Amino acid sequence: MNPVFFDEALSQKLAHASEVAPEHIAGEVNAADLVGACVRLNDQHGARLLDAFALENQEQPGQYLVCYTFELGRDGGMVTLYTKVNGERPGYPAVSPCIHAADWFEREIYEMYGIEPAGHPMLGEFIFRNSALQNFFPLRKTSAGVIQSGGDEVLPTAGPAIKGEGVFEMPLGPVYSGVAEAIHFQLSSIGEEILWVTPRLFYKHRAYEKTAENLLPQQAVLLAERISGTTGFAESLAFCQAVENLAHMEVPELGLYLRTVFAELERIYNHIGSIADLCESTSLGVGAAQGYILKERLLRLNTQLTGHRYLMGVNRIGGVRVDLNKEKRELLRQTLRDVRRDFRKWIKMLQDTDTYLDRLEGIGVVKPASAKDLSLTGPVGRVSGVDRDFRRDHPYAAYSEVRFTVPVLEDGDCLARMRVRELEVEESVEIIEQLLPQLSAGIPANSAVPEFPAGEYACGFSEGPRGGTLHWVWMGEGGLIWRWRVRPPSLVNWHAYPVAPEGSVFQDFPIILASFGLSAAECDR
Amino acid sequence: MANWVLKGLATQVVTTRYPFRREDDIPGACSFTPSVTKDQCLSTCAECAEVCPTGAIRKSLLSPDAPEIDYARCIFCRQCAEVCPKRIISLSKRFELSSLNDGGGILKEAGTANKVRRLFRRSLHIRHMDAGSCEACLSEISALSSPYYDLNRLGFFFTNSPRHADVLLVSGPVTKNLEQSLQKTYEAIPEPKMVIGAGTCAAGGWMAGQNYACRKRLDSLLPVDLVIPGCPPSPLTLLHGLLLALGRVTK
Repeated sequence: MNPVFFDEALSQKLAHASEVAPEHIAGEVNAADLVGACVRLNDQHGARLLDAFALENQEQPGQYLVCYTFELGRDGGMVTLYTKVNGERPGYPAVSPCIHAADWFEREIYEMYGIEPAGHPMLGEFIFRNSALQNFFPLRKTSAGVIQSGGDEVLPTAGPAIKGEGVFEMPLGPVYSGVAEAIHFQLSSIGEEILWVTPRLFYKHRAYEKTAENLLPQQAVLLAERISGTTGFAESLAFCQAVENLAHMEVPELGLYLRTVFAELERIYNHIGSIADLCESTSLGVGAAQGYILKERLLRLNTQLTGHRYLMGVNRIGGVRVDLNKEKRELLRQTLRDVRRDFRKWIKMLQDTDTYLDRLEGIGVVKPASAKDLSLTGPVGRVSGVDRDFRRDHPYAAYSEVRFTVPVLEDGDCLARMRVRELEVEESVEIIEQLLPQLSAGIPANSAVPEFPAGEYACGFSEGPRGGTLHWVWMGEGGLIWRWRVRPPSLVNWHAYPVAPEGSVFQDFPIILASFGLSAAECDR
Repeated sequence: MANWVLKGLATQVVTTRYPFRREDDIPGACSFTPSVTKDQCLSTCAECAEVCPTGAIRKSLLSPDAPEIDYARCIFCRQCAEVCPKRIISLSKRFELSSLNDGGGILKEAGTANKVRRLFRRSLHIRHMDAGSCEACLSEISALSSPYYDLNRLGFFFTNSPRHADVLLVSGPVTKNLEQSLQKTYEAIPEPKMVIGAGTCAAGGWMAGQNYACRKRLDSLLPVDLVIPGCPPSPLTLLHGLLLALGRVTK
C-alpha cells in the first residue's frame, strides 16, 4: 500500500486519487496546494522528483494538466500530482524555488505550452533560440505544421554569467573540437580555475514528442529508438512497456527474458565506450584504443544477434522481433566470456596507470547532498550516494528473476564514475549469464493486435546505461498517440552537470565531461 | 607507460583492409541491409511498401516488377524483409550503399570533379558537424578513428577547425537551432569544398523538413555532393562513401 494514503495532511489535498499502475497513484491538487504537496512529499517522504510536464486536457480543449511525478523510495512506489490550469496564458505557482530538481522541467513547460510557472527565476531562451518562435507553443494542439518563416537563430547574447575583475568568459560550441555533439558551453573562469559552466542545450531539439502525436504506437517505437541512438533499446523498452500497460498486453516470457539480455548488452557496450572516452580525454591513446576494440566487438555481436549494430528494430509492442537460436546463444556466451576476460585485463592496466588515475581522482566531485537535491539518476547519481535503480526498485522485464547488486559509491569524482561503470559491466555480464540457461523455447512476441482506447494513458520506465528513463503515453482517437512525454536521464543529469566542474581547472573540463557520459541528443529529443 | 606500449604491440592488427580487400565477410561489421534479390515479384502484393514507415519502398500493384528501395530514406528497420511472402526482399550484408547524386555540389560538373579529386586524392581533411543526429551516426563516425577502421591510413583526417577542412560531413536532420551554425561552418571552409551528408536524416529522410524544429532539408541549405545512407551508416559504409566522393572506388 502506498504510504501516501496514510499521510492525512497530503491525502486531504488529493482529489480523484487513483492507481495509474501498481504502486503508482495519481491525484489532483489545487494549484495553490501544489507547492505544499510537492514539498511534503519531498521532505517528509524522502521522495525525489522524477519528472514534471504538461499536457492538454483531452476532455476539455484549452485546459492543461501540469503533472509532477515523484518516486517514493526503494519500495514505496510512485506518486503523480496534477493540477488543472486554464486560459490563454495560464499560470500556477512554480515548484522549483523549493525543489531545485524541477528547474528545467518548468522551463520546458513554459516554452512548450506557454504555461507560466510563476516565481521561476529564469524562463525563456531554453529550447528555442529563435525570436520568431517566441509566441509559438508547439505542444499546444492548436500549433501545427512547419514554421517556414522566421528570423535567424539568436546566438547566445546573454551577458557573462559571472561578472568581476579578471573573470574570463569562454564560449565553446555548438561546433567545437573533434567529432562531438552540438552543445554550447559558457565557461566563466578566473585564471586556471573554472567558476561556473552554463551548458546551453536543445540545439538538437527535433520535436519528437510533437511528431509522435500523429503516429501509431507501432511507428513511434522507431522514433523512441532514435531519441538517442546509443541507448535506443532502453528508450524503446520504456515506451513499449508504457503502451503494453495501456493496452493490458501480456508479453511472453521469452520476450521478457530477451529484452533483459539486450538491455544489458546495450549497457555493457555503452559503459565500455564511456570508459574508453574517458581514456581519450586524458590522452591515454592506447588505453582508449583498447576500449574501442572491445566496444566494436560488442557492436558486431549485436549485429550477429539482431541484425543491427545499435539494437534498433528489435523492440516491438508485445515483445521483441528476434529470437536467439542455439548458435546465437552460444556465440553470445563465448563472446561475453572473451570480452570480460579482456575487459578485466584492460581495467587492471588502467588501475595501474598512475598518470591516468591522477587526472581522475578528486576531480569533478558531486557531493551526495547536491546529487539528492538535483535528483541525479543512473551511474552518475550512484557514485554520489543516490541508491536508486529502476531495475531493482521497480523490476520490469525479467529483472525480478535474476540476482544482481547495484553498486553505490560515495566519492562522486571522475574516478568513481569510471569505477561504477566497471562494476556495472561485471554485473551485466552476470545477469546475462544467469538468463542464458533460462531462455526457454517459445515465441518472443505477443502478436495479438492490441486495442488502444482513446483517453487511456500509462507510464513505462526502464534503466538505461545513462540512467532511468520515464515515458508517458496518452492515446487519442483512431489509435493515434495524443501525447507522448519522455523524460530521458540526460535531461536530469545535464541540469546537475555544472556542479561538477565548479572550482576545477580548465584542462579538467573535457575529463569531467567525458566522465559524465551525457548525451545531448537524448536531452534535446 | 611501457606496459601500454607492450599491450599495443601484443594486440594484433585488427584494422580492416578495406578497400584493398573485399570485406563482405566480417561478421557483424554492418547492420543488415534489406536488398531486392529477384527482379520478378507478385503483382498483387505490396506489403513491403505498406509496412515501410518512411515510404522508402516503391512497389506497383499493377506490374510484377520487383520493389525498389530508396536507401536514402530507408531507416533499416528490416520490417519489409519480415513481411515479404516470397523473400524478394531479404537481409544482406551489403554495405556499399552510397551513390553520387546529381545534386548541386561541386562534383556535379565533370571538369570540377576531376580537379577536386586530384586535389584531395591523397589527403582529405574532414570537419564533422552534428546537425541534430541521434548520436548513433556520431558513434559510427568516431568509430572511424578506432583501430578497426583507422581512417588515417587512407589519408583522411578529422580536423577541428573548419578553416583547415576540405569537406563538411553533416549528420542529422538540420534542426532550426543549428541552421545558422551550419551555414557559418560551411562558409568558414575554404574553396574548393565538398558537403557530404551522413545518415538517413541528413539524406532528407524521415525527420527532415517535417516539423517546427526541423524545417529545411540539408540539400535545400547547402550544395550536397554525396549522401551516405544508413541509420546509422556503419563505418565501412562511411569509408565507401568518402572514397567514392574522391573517385578512389568506382560504384
